[in-house]
Amino acid sequence: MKIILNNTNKDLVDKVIENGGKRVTECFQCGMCASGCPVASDTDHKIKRTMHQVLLGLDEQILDKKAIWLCTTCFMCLERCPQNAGPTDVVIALRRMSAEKGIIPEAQIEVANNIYHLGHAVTVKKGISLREKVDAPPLTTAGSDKKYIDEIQKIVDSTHAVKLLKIRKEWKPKGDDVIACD
Amino acid sequence: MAKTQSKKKKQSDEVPRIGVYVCHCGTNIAGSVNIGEVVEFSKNIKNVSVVREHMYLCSEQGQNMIKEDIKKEGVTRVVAACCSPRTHEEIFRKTLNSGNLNKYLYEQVNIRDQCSWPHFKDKDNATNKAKQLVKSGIYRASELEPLQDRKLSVLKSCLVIGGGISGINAALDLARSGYHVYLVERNPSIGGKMAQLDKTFPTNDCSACILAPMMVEVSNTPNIELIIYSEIENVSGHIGKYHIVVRKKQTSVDWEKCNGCGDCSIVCPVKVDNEFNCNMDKRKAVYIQFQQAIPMKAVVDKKKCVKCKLCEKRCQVGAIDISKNEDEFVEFDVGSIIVTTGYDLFDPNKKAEYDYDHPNVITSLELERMMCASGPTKGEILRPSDGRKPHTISFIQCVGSRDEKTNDYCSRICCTYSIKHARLLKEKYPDMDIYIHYIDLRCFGKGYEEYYRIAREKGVKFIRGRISQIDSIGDRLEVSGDDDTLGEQISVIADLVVLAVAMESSKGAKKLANLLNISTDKTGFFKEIHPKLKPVSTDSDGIFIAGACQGPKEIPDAVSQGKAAASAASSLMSKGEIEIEPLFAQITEDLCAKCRTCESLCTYKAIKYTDEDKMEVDIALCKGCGVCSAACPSGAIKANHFTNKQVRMQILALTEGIH
Repeated sequence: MKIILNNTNKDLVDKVIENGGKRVTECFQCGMCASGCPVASDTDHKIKRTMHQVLLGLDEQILDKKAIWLCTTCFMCLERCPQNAGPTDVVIALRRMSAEKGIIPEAQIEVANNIYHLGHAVTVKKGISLREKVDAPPLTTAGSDKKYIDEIQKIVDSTHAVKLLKIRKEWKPKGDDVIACD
Repeated sequence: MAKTQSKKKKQSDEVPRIGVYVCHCGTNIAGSVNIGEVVEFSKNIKNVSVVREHMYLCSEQGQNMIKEDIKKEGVTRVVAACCSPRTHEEIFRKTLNSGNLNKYLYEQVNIRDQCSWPHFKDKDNATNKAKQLVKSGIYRASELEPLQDRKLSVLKSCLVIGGGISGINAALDLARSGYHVYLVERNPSIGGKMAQLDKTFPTNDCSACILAPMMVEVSNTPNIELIIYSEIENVSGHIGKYHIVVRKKQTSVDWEKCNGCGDCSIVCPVKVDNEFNCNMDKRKAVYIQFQQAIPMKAVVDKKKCVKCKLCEKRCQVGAIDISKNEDEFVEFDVGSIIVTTGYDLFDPNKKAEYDYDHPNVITSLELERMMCASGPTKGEILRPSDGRKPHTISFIQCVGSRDEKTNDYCSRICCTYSIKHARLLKEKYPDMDIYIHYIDLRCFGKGYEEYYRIAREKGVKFIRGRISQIDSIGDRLEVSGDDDTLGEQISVIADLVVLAVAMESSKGAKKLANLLNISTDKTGFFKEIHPKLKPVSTDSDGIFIAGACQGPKEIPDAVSQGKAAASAASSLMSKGEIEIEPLFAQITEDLCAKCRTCESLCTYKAIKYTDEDKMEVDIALCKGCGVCSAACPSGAIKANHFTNKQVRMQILALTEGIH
């Protein structure tokens, strides 16, 4: 379908800059970001195109789509971008803006709740039992003591991330490979 | 002294001892020509005494090798099988000179352009062809004769044709060096296209503020004679002494009296399209071209004047005489000529898809005039259709450039000037929505990349993809194109469309080229001899080119070339005399029947029938092309360095053994 450029979001660039994609206007579409991107060949995440869409104000083509959440934030593009346009920063900014609109994929909500309740993004029960098997000393982690988790929750509660990330007070982690302190 | 004489005798009379030198030119020649085979083959040819090969013959080492052979092996003729004589003949002639051998006893065989390059896929035949060409060079070398350069006196004055930024710089540099300069300008004022510009990239400084002081300096320099509102009528003569006839178009205004007050324009009732403002407003039939005009004098447009004589009556100094109709002619001689006639803009009507007929589709120069505080809108950007401020503007690049249907070349300046316009508009109207539709952005000059970056930071949107169509939608324009990155068709509903039109050779270029006997290339721009070795020289000695008449270029390059041409002209004129090659035709009077066939054939008008019933060759004009010699029915004309004997030997070499 033909895209009429007049009808695009003229504030998108400013919003992205405000949210951390400070150098997005430096992009001149050389394509270095996309050529080194590890997920580009197998997903819809096309970072060169995303940068251009931001500059044109095509927010509907980005914010409502899953693609920006497929970036692994490996920072390869940010490292190599000859214009220092910071493509990864732009992706993170777009995620922030997307979250503000209430659009976050379920997997990301899961991770956020894991951190809030367990202190970890991923669960580590199997790893801990392995350490016992080889007589390795016990590991102190963010989730190994209730007081650490209290601190994490206090930090999150003080920001509006608690709302954005859809933190549920009543929450049960998925699977059985979970540790939770008493 | 006696020794040199005997040597000279030896050079011409005895059996020649030919040295043959085959150059590898790295892999340039050796990559496809078997150098060893060519060397072995050459050894068995008559009169050859030494054959050698070298990786780079033109290196100091290579040249010393030749000099050594002249000294120790008694070599009396040199044949170099290497690259083009266009670039290297002069170098090797000097080698012979410094080896005390007459420099015209040298023959160059171009086995690079004629063998290794065109036949790089066929090594055997490239080698065979090289052998044959070297053989023909050797045969010719046996018949070469020593010749002496001729001295020619050179006038210390220069004609500069065209008073744009390039011509102004050339004229100023020459005048500062003490030469007398005639600066001829077709329009009522000097300044050229730059005078029409508002600001110039990459510094965004005001065009007039850079140009106007230079224009003033031109008019205040006693060495510069301004010949304004004039065109070249005729050019004759030759390097060192060209005779120029200039037609001064009738202005009907006595410039000695005119004080540039402009009262005449105020009373004049005739309104005419104002070319200086791209016809976007009107001027009068009697007018001063623009506010900073040099000279600040009025001109009567004779084609439009209705002879009401209101201006005559109004003029307080009595400078106007409408009854004057005849053009005047000025004649003078100069030692050299610099051509700086600039360019014209592509006519966008030739690209029907861009709908230039629509009032809101304009060219970049029209926009430039609008942006200028002294322009038709006093610096405001207004839609020509209704005088309203546009909100959305689309710039379309490469209109008439990089297009086989119009001009296949890149006009070099359009990317950066569109970026300039976009930037200046964004600075003035931050809310304006600006799109630049491009194929490639070529911002190649010093500081231009930063210039482009700032445009992006200001929010100018760059869309890669050529626009295919512009349609009217109500009072707006739909610009339809493709976005390369999105992979989708896009359109912009614009209030104003600006076409980045190409630079073309100026309309009078062909006529001037004929008058001056210089060449134009396939695009119509004047042709330099060599882009690197002789970038401002033409094939007429003593005539130089500079600025956009040579090819599209921006102001910094046009200035540099103007200065380069001044330097080239100055080094030609500084000694007051020059040495010229003795490659001219000589007439044996006893054989000449005065049939005058040669006179009618000579392109350079170098042969003339004189009052004394003789045919005479003007050796300064003669290029030694040999047309006269070939045509002469009685064989009376000898073309130096290309004698019948020399040419016949070459033919013999190439046809020997063929039955």
